[in-house]
Parts: sequence; C-alpha cells; structure tokens
Amino acid sequence: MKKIQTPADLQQLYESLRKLMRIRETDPNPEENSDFTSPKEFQNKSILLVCGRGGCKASQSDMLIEKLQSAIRKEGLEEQIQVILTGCFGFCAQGPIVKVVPDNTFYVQVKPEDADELIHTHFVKKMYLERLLYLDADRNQVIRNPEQMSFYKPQMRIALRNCGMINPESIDEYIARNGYAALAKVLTQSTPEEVIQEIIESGLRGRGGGGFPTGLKWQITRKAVKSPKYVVCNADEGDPGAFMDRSILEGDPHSVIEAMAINGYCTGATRGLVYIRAEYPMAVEGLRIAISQATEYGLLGKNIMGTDFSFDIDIKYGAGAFVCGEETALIHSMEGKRGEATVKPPFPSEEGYLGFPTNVNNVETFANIPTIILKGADWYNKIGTEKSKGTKVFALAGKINNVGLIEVPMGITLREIIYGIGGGIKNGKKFKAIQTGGPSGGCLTEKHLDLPIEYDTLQAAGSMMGSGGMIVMDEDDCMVAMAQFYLGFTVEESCGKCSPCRIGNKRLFEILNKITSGKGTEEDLRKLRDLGHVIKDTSLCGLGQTSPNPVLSTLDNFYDEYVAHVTEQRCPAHQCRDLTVYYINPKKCTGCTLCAHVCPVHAIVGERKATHIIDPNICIRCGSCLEKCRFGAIYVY
Amino acid sequence: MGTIKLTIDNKEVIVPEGTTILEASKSVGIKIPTLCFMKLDELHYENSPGSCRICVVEIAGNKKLMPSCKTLCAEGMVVRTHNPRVLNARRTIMELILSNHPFECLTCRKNGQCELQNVASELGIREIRYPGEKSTFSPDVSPAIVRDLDKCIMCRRCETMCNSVQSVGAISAINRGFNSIISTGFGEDIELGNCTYCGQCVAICPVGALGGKSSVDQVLDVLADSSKVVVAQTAPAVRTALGKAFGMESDQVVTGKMVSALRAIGFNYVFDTDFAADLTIMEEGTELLGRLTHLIEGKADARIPLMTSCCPGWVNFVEQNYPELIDNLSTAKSPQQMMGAVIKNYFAKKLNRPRKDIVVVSLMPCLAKKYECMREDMSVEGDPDVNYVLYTRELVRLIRFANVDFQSLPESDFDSPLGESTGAGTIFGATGGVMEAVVRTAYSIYTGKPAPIIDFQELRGFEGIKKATIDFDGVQIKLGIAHGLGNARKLAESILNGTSDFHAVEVMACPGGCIGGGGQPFHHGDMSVIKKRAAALYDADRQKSLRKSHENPSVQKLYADFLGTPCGPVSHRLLHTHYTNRRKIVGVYPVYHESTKENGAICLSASTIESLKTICGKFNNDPKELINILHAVQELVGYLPKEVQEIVAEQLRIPLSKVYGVVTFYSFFTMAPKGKYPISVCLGTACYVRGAEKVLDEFKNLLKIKVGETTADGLFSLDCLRCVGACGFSPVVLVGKKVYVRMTPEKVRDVLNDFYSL
Repeated sequence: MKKIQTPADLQQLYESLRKLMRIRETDPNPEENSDFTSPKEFQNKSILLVCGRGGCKASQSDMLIEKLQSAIRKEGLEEQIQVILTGCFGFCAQGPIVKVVPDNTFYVQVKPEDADELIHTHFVKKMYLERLLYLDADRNQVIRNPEQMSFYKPQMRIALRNCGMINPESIDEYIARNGYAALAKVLTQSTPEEVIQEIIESGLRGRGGGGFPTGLKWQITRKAVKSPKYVVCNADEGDPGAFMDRSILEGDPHSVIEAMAINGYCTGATRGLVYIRAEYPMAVEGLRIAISQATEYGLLGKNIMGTDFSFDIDIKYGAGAFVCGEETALIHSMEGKRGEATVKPPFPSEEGYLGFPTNVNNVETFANIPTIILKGADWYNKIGTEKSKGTKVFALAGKINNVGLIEVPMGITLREIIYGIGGGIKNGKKFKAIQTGGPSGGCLTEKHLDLPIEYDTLQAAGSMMGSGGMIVMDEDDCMVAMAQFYLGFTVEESCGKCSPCRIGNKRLFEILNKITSGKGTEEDLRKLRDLGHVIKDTSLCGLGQTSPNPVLSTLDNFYDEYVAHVTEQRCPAHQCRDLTVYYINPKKCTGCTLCAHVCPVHAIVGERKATHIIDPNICIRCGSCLEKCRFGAIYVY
Repeated sequence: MGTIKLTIDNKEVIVPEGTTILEASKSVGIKIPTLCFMKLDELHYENSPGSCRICVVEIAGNKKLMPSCKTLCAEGMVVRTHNPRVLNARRTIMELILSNHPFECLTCRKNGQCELQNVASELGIREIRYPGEKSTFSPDVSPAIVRDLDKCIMCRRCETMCNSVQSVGAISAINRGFNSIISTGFGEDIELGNCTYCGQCVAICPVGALGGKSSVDQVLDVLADSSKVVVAQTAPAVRTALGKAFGMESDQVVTGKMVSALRAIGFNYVFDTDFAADLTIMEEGTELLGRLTHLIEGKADARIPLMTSCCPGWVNFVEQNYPELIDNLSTAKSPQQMMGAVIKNYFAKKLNRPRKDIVVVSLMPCLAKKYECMREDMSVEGDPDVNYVLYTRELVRLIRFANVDFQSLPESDFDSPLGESTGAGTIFGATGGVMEAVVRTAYSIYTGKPAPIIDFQELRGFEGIKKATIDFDGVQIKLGIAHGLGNARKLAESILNGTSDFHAVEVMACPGGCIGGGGQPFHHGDMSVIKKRAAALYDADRQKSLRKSHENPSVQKLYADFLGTPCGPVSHRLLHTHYTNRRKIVGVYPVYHESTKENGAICLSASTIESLKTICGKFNNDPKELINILHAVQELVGYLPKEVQEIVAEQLRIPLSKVYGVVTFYSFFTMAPKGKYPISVCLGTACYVRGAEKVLDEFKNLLKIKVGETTADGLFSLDCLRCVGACGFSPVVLVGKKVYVRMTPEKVRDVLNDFYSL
C-alpha cells in the first residue's frame, strides 16, 4: 500500500478507484418495476452487497456469504459476480439482506440455504427470485427496488451514506466514495476558523442527545488556552434500543476517523480517543482495522498529507455503565476511574480529559462532518427545519412492522415514520405510544403524531430527541409498567454520587413498584410528580436530570391508566402481573385441555371434558392460554 | 484579578474573580447550608464533589438549580438562595437523605454534634414523605476506628482525606448507585487492610458513620475498682483543645483545670505526658547524635536521616509502605509508651505495688494510640505498659459523667515525680514541635553550649513540608518536617531516591500535627480552631521558665535514680522498641504475596502471575489504563478474584480499594467465575417490549438458576444485559460470543441443546 503523501496522491487514488463504486451507485429513481438494462461500462458484471454486521451477522450472514461464493463458483461466474460484505442497510426487520447491483435488486430474509437458488435464478435463469423479494403488505405486491419501498423512500442517508455501500474493512472503498477528501480539503484550503465557521453555519447539533451546536463546541475548544487538547468520540451508546452509532462504526468507521482528524485540525488537538462500549466487540475490531489502515496510508500519524498536522487515535473501552455516556463520566472512565459525573461548569471544552480542553462529540455527529465539508454548509442547512438542520438517524424498534435503522430529514412527522416508513403496528394492533430518547425521554402519543420531529418540539412535548432510539408501543403495553421498567434501569445505572439521583430515583422506583403491585394510592401519584420534579431540578448530571421523564411523561399522557392502577387495582393493558387475572369461564370451557398443555408453568388444572381452572398464584400472565383457546373461554381482567 | 458584581437575594455583592456563590453569600451574611463541602485551606484539603445538592441555589437564566459551593460568580448573576422552588428542593433532598439514614439519633455517638442533625433541624424537617429501603452494611470494629456505614451519607470527605491528603487509600467508593458506599477493597475490615489508624477520616466525618473505638466503659470499671491504682497521663494536644468543648475560648491551654477534672473523675495520680516528651528528647537526641557521629566517621550503617517515631500512624505507614526505611526510624518509643514503661517499672516500685495493680490511662488527641498501646513490644508478660487510651472526646464525656462544671474548676498541678515538663515537651503537639525540641537539646549536647535562640521559627507553621538547616556551631544540620501522610510520602520517596539529604526528619500523620488528631473535638471545617490550638501551645512554651528538655530536673532525677544514661542498657530495655516489615498491598512497591488455599483464597500459578504482569506492562502500568487492563485480565483469567486485583493494584501502584471500586462499578467485570457458556439475555427496551422477560423466565426455568448464578455443573451462568444494539432483531440473547436473535421462550431449549451437544 502506497502512502498518501499529498492531497494529489489522494485524488489520484480516488480516480483510480472510482470505477469500483459506480456500479453500486446506479440511478436512484428508476421507474417503478421497469426492466433494468445494465449500462455497457459495467460489462455485465454484478456485485452482491451482503450485510455482515449486527443482527444480520447473528442471523448467519457469514455463512450466507460463504454459500453465495461457493454457488458462484459452482456456476462458473467468478469473473462476473463479486460478493462484498457491507454494513447495515437499515431494514433489520427483513434481514439478512442481499442487494444486487447495478440492478438494485433487494433480496430479503435470505438464508444460507437460499444461496444456490438465488445465484442460479438471478444470474443463470436471469429471473428475479420472487419469494425472496420484499412483499409490501399494504399494496400486496412485491417490490424489487429499495428506492420504491415505503421504508426507504422518505429516507435521506447522510450519516449512513456508506453503510450498505462499502466494505467497512476496505479503506480503498471508503476513498472511492470521496473518503478523506474532506480532510485533504480542510488541511490545504482552509484555516481552522474557516472550517469551524462552516460547521456553525451548517446548523449541525449534537446527535448524542444534547443537541448542542457542534460548531460552537469546536469553537470553544479551539479558544481554550490549555494544552494539549483532545478529541473524544463518544461511542458509548448506552440507550437500550439504540444502535445507530453501532451501525455507523461497523459500517463506515473511516467517516468517524476522518471527522475526528478534521476536529483535531480545528481545535488544535493531536490526539483522538474513541470511548467505545464493551458490548460492541465487532465495532471495536472494525475500528481497530480502520485505524491501522488509515495509519498505513499516512492519513493518521505525523504530517498528514504533507502538512504539519499530526493526529493519532486510540481506543478506550467502556465496561458496562450507561452513565459513561455522560461526557464527564466518560472522561473519568477514560482516566481509569469510576464513571462518576462531575459538576459542569467547567465544561470539558475547557477542562476535560486529565484537566485539558477536550472536545467530546457523538459518533453520528462526527459521521456528518465530511459531507458538510464537501457539500458545504449551505447545502446542509437547507435540509431539516429552522432550528434543527440536517438529518437524524433513528433506531426504530418495538411493536412496529419495519424494525430497523432509518435516516430522515428533521421535521418529518411521527405519523410518517410509524405508518409510512415503519409500516404500521405489528399484528394489526392499535398504536399506543412511542418512546423517544431512551430512559431520558418521554412518550409521545396519538395526539403527537403530526408533530415535526426536531430537538425543540420533542422537548416541549415532554420528551426529547435523545440519541435516536424510538420504541413503538401498542395497546398491550402498560405505560405504568413502562415507566417502572425505565426507572429500574436508571436505579441500576445511576452512578450513585449525588443524593437526588441515588436516593430519589430509588424512591420513584419503589413507588412505581407499589403501584404496579396494586398497593399504590392517589397520594402516590402526587408524590411521583413532586419528587420527579425535584430530581430533575437538582441532579448533578444529565442522567438524573432526565431520569424522571418517563414517569412524568406517562403521568401526563396516560393519567387514567395510573388511576386505574391505584383506585381500581386494575391494569388496563393486562401487563402488570399482580393486577391481572386470567380466568376461565366455566360456561364456555369444553375441557379440551389445550390450555393446560400450553401453560409453561402448569397453572391450569382440569379433567378432560371438564371445566379447567387457572391458579392465580402460579399463573405468570404470559397469555399463552388465551392465544390457544378456541372457544373464547379465557378472559383477562 | 478582576472583581465581579452580582446580586444574591436582592443584595448587591462585589467579589474577586474565582469566588464561589457560597463564599460570596457568606461575605454578605447569607449562610447557605452545606453538607458534603469542606475546605481547610492551609492543610490543602478540599472536598467539594457538589453531590449532596443541599447548597443548591437558583440562578436566573439557568434551567436547573446549581450547587453554590462549586459555581463561580459571574458578572450580573442574579441568585436566589431561598425562594419557594429552592427551599422545596433543599428540603426534599434532606428528606431523601434522611430516608436512607438510621433513625438512631438519641443513641448515636454523634448526637448533638452531627452536621446532618444540624441541617435537618435548620430546615425544619418534620416528616419523611418518601420512605423506602435503606442500604445497610455490616459494622466494622478495629482497634482504633469504628465504622457504622449505615449512617454514611456519601459526602466523600473521608475518601478525599484518605486518598488526596493522606495518600493511603485504605478506603474508596465501591459499588454503584444506591448501594455505593465508601469502604475498603472487598469491604473487608479496615484492620486487614492498609489503614494506618491516623483517624483523619473520623475527624471530618459529618455524621456517626466513623468514630473512634471506645474505651470509656473499661476505664469506668477500672476507676471503680479500688484494688487498682489508676494513673492518668495527658498529651500536650489535649490541654489545648479541651477548653472549647466546655465553652471556653479555644486559644487557651487549660492544663490546671484538666488536672482537676481528672482527679474529680477519680484518677489516683495525674502525670504529664510532656514529661515523657522531655524524656523522649533525651533518648532520641542522644540517638541522633550517635548516628551523626557514625556518619561523620564515615561508617556505613549510619541510618541517617533519623526519622521520628512518636507518631503511631506514621510508624504504621512506614512498616506497611516503606519497610526499607525501618532502620531510619528512631528506636525510641513514643512519649505515651515511655511514660507507661516508667510508671509500671519506676513508679510501681516507688509505690511498692506490682505492675498489674497499676492501670495506666493515657489521654490523647489520637486514635492510632489505641492501637499503639497494644503493640507486641509494649507489654510485659501480658500486662501492657499503657492499659487504655482515651481520646479527647472521650475525656470530655468522662468529665460530663462526673457532673463537673469545667469552667469553675480550680487549677491543680500534676503529681510528682512524673509531672514536670519543659516548654520543649509542650510543643510536641504541633507540627515541627518535636523537631524544635530535639534541636534545643541536641545543639547543647553536641556543641557543649546553649543554643543561641530558643524559638526556631523556621520549624513552625502549616506548610506541608518544611525544610531547614540549623547551624550547629559550624556543622550544617539539615532537617525535614512533614505533616499529613501525603507529605510524609513525598519525604520518604525523596529519602529513598536520594534527592534529599536530611539528617533528621519529623513526621506527624495528622495535618497540623497532633493538635489536629482524629480524637480531638471536631473542628467542623473551621481551620482557625486548629491554628489556635497550635498558637496556644507555643504560647504556653514561651511562658515556661524551663524550655529545654535536658533542663528538666525530674527527668535528670529519673536518669540518676533509675535509668542511668540515655540509650544506656536500662533505657534500651524500657524505652526503646523495634519495628517489623508489615508491607500490605498498597501498590507502591513490589509486595510479598501469600496466596494460600485457606479462607477460600485461590492460588495463582506463577505463569498466570507473570501473564498478569505482562498485561499490565503492555499498558505501561498506567493507572489511566485500568479499565482496558481489567478487560484483558478478565479475558485471561475468566473473572477478577481478589488475588488478581491485588496484582493489578501492585503493578499499577494504586490502592486496592481503588481497583475494587472500579471493578464493582462496571457491570462487565465479575468477581465470580462464569459458567463455561455465559448466557446474557438482553433486557434493553426494544427486547423488553418484544418479550425478553419471558425468554429470561424460560432460561431460569430450564436451568433452575436465578440471574447472576451458575449451574451446578458449571456449564451455564445467567445474566442480564442492557442492549447489544441489535434491536432490529429483538429479543437478543448472547451465549459466550454467539448471538441468538428473534428469541422466543420456545427456542430456549434448542439454544441450550446447541451447547449440551458440544
């Protein structure tokens, strides 16, 4: 590998690699279901892009790739077809995914045993293997091209631009997509102040949840006097239900590396640190490979591309502490200490790692930087809304059909996300709420469906953007139990340093336990509010300051549900075990014994052809009997 | 430095830049309550985690309430310290703290002196609206310090003191969240760790979580026993602290009343430890000159510098951390112990009573002295030279039991023949005092002339490390003085690495010297209390007619009648001691390991130990890399038992309590071996909403274990995980490195079978 010693070297390499990419970047707006004819320049060659990361990998995409390659060999098509492992396509509900380019055929839920048939059908018979194409349930038709899918149409992939496009373990593929061109540009054509001004004008705000103007943070760090300075990438992604950063790191690690180097140039830092959670070993490995590749190419290290700018990146592990997503706790963790937050001010930009100015930014924030540099602030700030520019990556999960990773312009509504992109509620159930912002956020309901998604509107509605996790809940989810779940999480993850969070959240949790076990009172509902507000007002760090949000938000939006729990000892969603009773109506029961057989804890007794009875002390309220009964004899209260 | 103008509670305040809102408020008579905050400027102690949140205030323009102890004033700031929002917040926080606190005020050792009581009372708390579970811990009783951690309010003062000031690190924050507490590595008794018993943690604890070990009951029993002769001896630091406890000004030395009080309590004889201080000077001064002579003669084993040994906290520190410096310690016992030996041998003979009939009770400012009197060397055939030590606060209690109105007591004199002392003995209580006393005598003995001055100002004051060169008639004698163990460590390091050339070194473990000891009446953060105590001692010294130890006629008589010569055979037998290498895991120097199979300790093989050291070395033994190191170590060994943590602490040169505090903070680290196939069920929101709990239940059902446990055959262990980021494929379960997606309870059996078949 030749070292890239000047921007001209980089340009040369880019041009020589361009061909690699063009085959993957075909017409994004083809006519629906039109026949595809491969342009002559591709010489009948094809590439199979297979997601090899995250959930797809767990679904045996490794083996799938192997089987595809052997099928190709079997058919003698090695010269014509290449299999490339890529990062996340985002459509996790339909994974594992195989995308054929240049025709943009999107095969879904592909199993290793499908490999032979897929290769044979698509390349030998030259037909589409329909059974593996995406079936749009609403229109009851098969859709071949992802650009036509309601999941993808509204999306705009900037941070995820390379995920699903390139092999994340190939720096050449990254360069072929204009990788490191932004770094070359800033190093040779702009002053740090000019670059910072560009970022400020782009309107980019922190994507980790804080929403702080990114350019401003870079400026403050630049102005800080102490030295040396550090750049830190917050890859802790602790929010349960969030996997945006993971996908970016696994699918396009170089984008983060490039952005960190750009930040170093702007702020005056020569050392970058990526703090990455231990639960992401694949992302760590991918990052390690990318860093060593970048170093080999001379894009990290001393005198990058012939300038006097030097920059290195090291990796620091997290070890299973949600609170370490908070920047001061993160910094202390990097210093080898307990992840306890410290009072701000002073802010890390002035006094951070080892007491020196430290610029902490989230993975997704960084992933946007190279594009902003190359396409300009003016291009970027036309996307989104007035106060929230650009796009946001969301992790759509829960009771929704199209679970996965999406990137949409700010200002899109919840309705468009849930019913458009998300494909509506799973199993035809009724939408109840969507939780945004993880344990720091609140829930939005039916009445918020037409809310444009941006930092300030979400906060005004009692929730927050957070890092981008969106959990959809349906009629079977009890909102009190949801608040209890989140508080349980907070209590476990609180660092324990300050009184309001350490003790207050525990008390909130205890009150919620009381309520979900039928011992709550109306007074408890008042206490939840009062205590919740004090905890928000007085906690030392963001974790405590936002931890009561799930409680306060559900109290606001689902007060009736709470009231049912405390005044009637009833759980309307039939989720709280102590308030739910499964009962067999003796008038309808035929004694078929099906329920008794399916009960996982043997709570149902009865003779054949005689009425069965459920023992409420053993019953775990799993609902299996209700599902199985063909006579509608089982009721839930 | 500019000034800043701001408004606090409608008052205009002008302060220098860098002032906190708390300080600024104080300057205009606004006293914002605090709990965790404590600052002792001259002693370089500052504990300001900003974590109790009692001192929060409202700042216009800030969304949240801010801690006034940490927030710096800014131009134009508008602060409200007690509007309804702030008051409600402050009182709610107090209720929360109280909801996790034992309600034992009436029987608590801190009743009447407790900072929590004070603030709760000021805030008018009448009910706890949010009662709930209270975190409890097992109590710990050691020879000198008692811990009742149920009462800890996590103010972090003790942790800061033990680590930042004393550099001992016996205690640190451990565990996480509601169960976090300040304790030792593995939560074991402090007796088993590297605590030096300096007692500084006790001195600054706001509540009754830390205290001294009580000997009051035993002393009361002994006083009531008419078959015993009960003898008291009093340290200099006690007489200068006692008055304030009874409402007198703290800049008075109340010796006369103290003696009367002791007689009122029932002591048969009251002697003065200052006498023994003079005696110590005779012995130690002679010892120093002997070593200096060896040095001048070029003898190899000169054992210079000589380090004072009257402070048991310091002696512990040396034995545990710097055993290579043991030979430098003076072999002289401390004044307390010398007095005990003299009473039990010389005085007992005078009384014609066997030594077992004599009970020596020493009144000390110190907690470590309780441990010192129990040292092996300090008794004869099971009868200790000093039977009991009572610290000043215990003495205050005894005086109260005796229904004595302290202020109206008459002045009394000490008893003979062990009650006379010079000013040199008196100043033993302040940092630099011992050295000054040594110099006053050593000069005369060495040069044959009296010292030109008596007050050696350069040896006084609160600077952490004082260095001085005294001209002994042409010979330059270099002296070093440290107070606080952090400063002592610096001195010790400089001696070891040859960067200093002291001839003699004085160390007092307590910042300020003995006057700031762990057994003294609480200063509650008021530095002036400590300063006044020191000033009073130097004053008392100045007012004495005899100011040099060797001029003490009673001391001279003791030598003539009984001891012979300083450092002679009788002195050596009675007044000198020896020390042992008691190096514990403190992470400073290579440690001797005792990996035995007793008590469930595991035996690490030599190759494992080597591998562990190699891992640490790969990260340059850098404490900042602790987490990366623990990951690698856990990868190798499978878990992190005590033996492994000790090695990491040793290699990185950090306290074991710090390593343990990190291990117990992060979920990834485990101290129990996991099963061969560790199962982690993701309970992140997305997985939870899609039924992860039922999957977990099925695992529990089939394996018959609870979360956190391992199956009896060691094959599987079960844990919960919060989000692996595969939410699109929820619910997710990991078994080892293998990931299972879209899990249902029905699939659990198949997953297990995958591994049973291996």
